[in-house]
Amino acid sequence: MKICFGMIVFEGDYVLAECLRQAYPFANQILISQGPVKFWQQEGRTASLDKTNYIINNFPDPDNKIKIINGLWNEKDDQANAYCKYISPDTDYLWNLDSDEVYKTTDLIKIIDYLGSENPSSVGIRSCSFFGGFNHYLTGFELKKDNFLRIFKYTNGATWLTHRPPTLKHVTPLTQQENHIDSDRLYADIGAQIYHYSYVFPSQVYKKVNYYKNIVSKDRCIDDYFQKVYLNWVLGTTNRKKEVEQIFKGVHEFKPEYRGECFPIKFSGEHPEAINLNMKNLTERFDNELLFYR
Amino acid sequence: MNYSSIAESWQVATKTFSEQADLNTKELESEANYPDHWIDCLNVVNQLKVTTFLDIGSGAGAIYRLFAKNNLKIQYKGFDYSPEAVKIASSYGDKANFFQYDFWKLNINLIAPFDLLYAGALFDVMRDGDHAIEFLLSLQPKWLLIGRPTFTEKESYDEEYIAYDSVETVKHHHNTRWFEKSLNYFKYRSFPLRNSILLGFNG
Repeated sequence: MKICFGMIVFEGDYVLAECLRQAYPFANQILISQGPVKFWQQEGRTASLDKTNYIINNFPDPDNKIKIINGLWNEKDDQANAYCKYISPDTDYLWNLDSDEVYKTTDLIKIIDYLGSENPSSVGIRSCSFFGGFNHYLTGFELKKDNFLRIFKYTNGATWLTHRPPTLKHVTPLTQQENHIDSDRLYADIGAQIYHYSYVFPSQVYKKVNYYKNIVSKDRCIDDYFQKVYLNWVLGTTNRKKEVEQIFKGVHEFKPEYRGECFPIKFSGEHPEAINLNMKNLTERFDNELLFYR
Repeated sequence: MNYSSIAESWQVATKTFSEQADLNTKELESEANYPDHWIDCLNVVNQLKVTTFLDIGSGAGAIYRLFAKNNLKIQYKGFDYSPEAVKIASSYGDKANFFQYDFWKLNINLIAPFDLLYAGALFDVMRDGDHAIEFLLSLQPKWLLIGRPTFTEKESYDEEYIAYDSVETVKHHHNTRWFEKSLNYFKYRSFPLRNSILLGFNG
C-alpha cells in the first residue's frame, strides 16, 4: 500500500514536528507546500516566519520521502495543487494531512489495513479537536459525520478540485465503484481518529479566527471570538467556563445558529506518542503565549 | 561585561528600579516634566490609534503609569528580564499586565496581537543593539517605536556606564549608515518625534 501524505502549511509550527514524526514511517511520500496565501501576503509575509521552515527543512528524512515546495499562493487550492505533480504514479492513496493533525501509530496501522481490506474511494476521519489546551476536546458540530475528509484513492494525474472540502479531481474516472467510508463508520469499525490540535495555542486561535473572519466566513463567526470565548474560557474559573459555554452553546468560532452545539468535554484518552513525548515543551509554550495574549 | 553579567546586574537591581519608580512619580506630576520620549510615545499611540501595546523592557512600569495618567484606553502588556522590575511595575496596576520574559525568546506568534512594540530603554541595557533591532524587525511587527536611540558616525559600539550609581551596564550606539541602509523598514516621518524612531512595516 503506497500512501502519499500531502500537506499545505504556513506558520504552523505548533505540532508540525509531531505530525511528521507519526506519519513518516507509514509514508511512501510526504509532499509539503509551504508559503502564504494572498491574505498573509497582504500582511507582508513571503514565507513562514515561525519555526515551520526549520522543522520541515531539518526533519530527518533517511528514506528521502519528503519534498518541499515553497511559494506564494493565490489560495489554498493552488497551494494544495502545487505538490500534485510530484505524486508518484504508483500511489494508492493521497492522504490530506494538516500540520495540526496527529495520528496515533496504532490508528495509522489500522487505517492502512482498512484501506487494504475495504478498498474505499474516499474516507472521512473523525476529529478529536482539542480546545484551550490539551485536556478538552470539542463535541457536537465538530464530531459531525465527514467534517474531515482525508483519504482519497489516487489515480495518476489527479489534482485537487477544491481544498475546502478536500475533493480530488481525476483525469480518468475511477475504475472502481464509488465506495466512500464516512467518518462515523470508520470510527465504529476501527476506532481511529485524528488528534487535532486546532484550538490549542492562543496565537494559533488568534490567527485562525482572523483568517476565517476575513476570508472564509465573515458573518458566520462570533464577533470578538478570541476574547469573548477562547480567552474567557481558558482563563476562567469552572463556573465562568460553564457560563461561556452556555452563552454560545459551545466554544467553536461559528455562531450557534450556523453550527449548533459544540461543547468542550474533558479528554480522558492518551495523546499520540510524539505529543506525549514533547508535552512538557508544548505546555510551556502554551503558558508563555498566555502571558502575552491574556 | 558580557551579556549575562549585564542581565544579572539588572536582574537584582531592586534599589535601582525603586529609585527609577520614584523618579517617574516626580516626572508624572506635570506634563512639563515628561521626558521627550514619553511625549513621542503618547503622540505615536494617539496618531496610530494604537489599541494593543507591548512594552519591551518595561522596567518600573513608567509607560504604563503614563498611559494611566493620561487616561489612555489601551491594552497594555509589559515584560522585563528582571523579576524585581516586574514586581515594582506590578504594584502600579493589574499584575497580569506585567511579566518576566527574555527578549531573545520573543517570536512572531507572541508579538502578533500588538499594534505597537515599544523599546524605550532596551538599548540602554543591552550589548549589540544592532543585532537586537534586526531580531525584532525579523519578527515583522506592525510598528516598532524605539525610545532614546543613540547614533554615531563611527562603527556601532557599546558604551559601558554605571546606571543609578549602582548598576554596571552598557548603552548601544547605532551607526547611522547601518541604521539607514540595513533596515527593510521605513522611518515614519509624517509627524515629528523628539527623541524616538518609529519603524513601520514597508509591505
